[in-house]
Amino acid sequence: MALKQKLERLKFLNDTYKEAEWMVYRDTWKTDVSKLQHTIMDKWLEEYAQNGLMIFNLINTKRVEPYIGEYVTTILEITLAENKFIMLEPISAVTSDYDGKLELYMLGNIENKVSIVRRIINKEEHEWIVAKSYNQEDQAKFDKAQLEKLIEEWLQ
Amino acid sequence: MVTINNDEIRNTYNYLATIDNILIKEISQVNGNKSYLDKIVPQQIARVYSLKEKTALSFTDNLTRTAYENSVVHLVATFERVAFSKYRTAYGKIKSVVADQVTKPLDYYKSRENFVNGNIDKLSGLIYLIEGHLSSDLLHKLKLIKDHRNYIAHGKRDTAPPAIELKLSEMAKVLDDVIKEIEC
Repeated sequence: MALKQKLERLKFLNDTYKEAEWMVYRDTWKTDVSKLQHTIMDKWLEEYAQNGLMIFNLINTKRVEPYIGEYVTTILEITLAENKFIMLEPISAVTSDYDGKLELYMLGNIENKVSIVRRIINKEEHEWIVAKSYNQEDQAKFDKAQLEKLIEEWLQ
Repeated sequence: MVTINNDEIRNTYNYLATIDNILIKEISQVNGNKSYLDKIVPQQIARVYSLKEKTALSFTDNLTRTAYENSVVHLVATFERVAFSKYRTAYGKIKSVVADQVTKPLDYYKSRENFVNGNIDKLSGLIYLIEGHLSSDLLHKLKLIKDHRNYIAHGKRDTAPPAIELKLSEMAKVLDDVIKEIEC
């Protein structure tokens, strides 16, 4: 994201989100995170769970953040057959670029984590991007294929 | 392999990268062998985190996160030391030239000296001074690093974290490139 876009976004956030709006922003973030986690559990990885290869668990976690204060969200923990755990952990609803991020990693292997960032397109739409680094070539739309590819890499 | 020209930044980066390397090697031993953790932690916390596989792995992940955050703060501290020392040197030269040429000291230089040595937030002040001389990409990354450092150093309360973290090597390269620009 170029500096001009970043500054425009910050100005937009300052101008747009007064205290009440920040609460709406927080609730939308919680909903979006929850929807993403359920998409993963109920659609993308459902067949693995049905075959007994994965177990899903949602763990409540508290976050305290600038602008939006304290709230409770959930970490998605995916237990794999060989006692390995994949974690999808919400980190921050407000980030210095994009519109919030989660981290996806294999427990004990956080060195190779990726960021799952939300980009708000307009009031109704957003998209999730998976980013291994700031390099545009290391970023892609987050979908079933990307998630499966990552898990495969981590299991090698 | 990243090339870093400034001696101080290179040394700091080399130390931090080595610590990171040691950490990765040690942590890889814990995977599938949780009791290995007891060999690397202080004796008083032996068997505290190593009884369950999941607890041991969470501990090593937090260890990695802590090491990275410490590295961000340390690397930026080194950068500040180098950058401000270069600014002061440059200021000293300018001041002596001005003193030779004018009868009354210029307020501009007085305020510049006060600015550099004063109580203004150091890194923000520095960015303000040099932003016109950096490419937009370099400036964007420098501000990203500043925000990230502030986020960690101020207890993750007042500022937002970056959406995507820069690798330590990328961070060192950006800071080195900024020093290079100051030297030009």
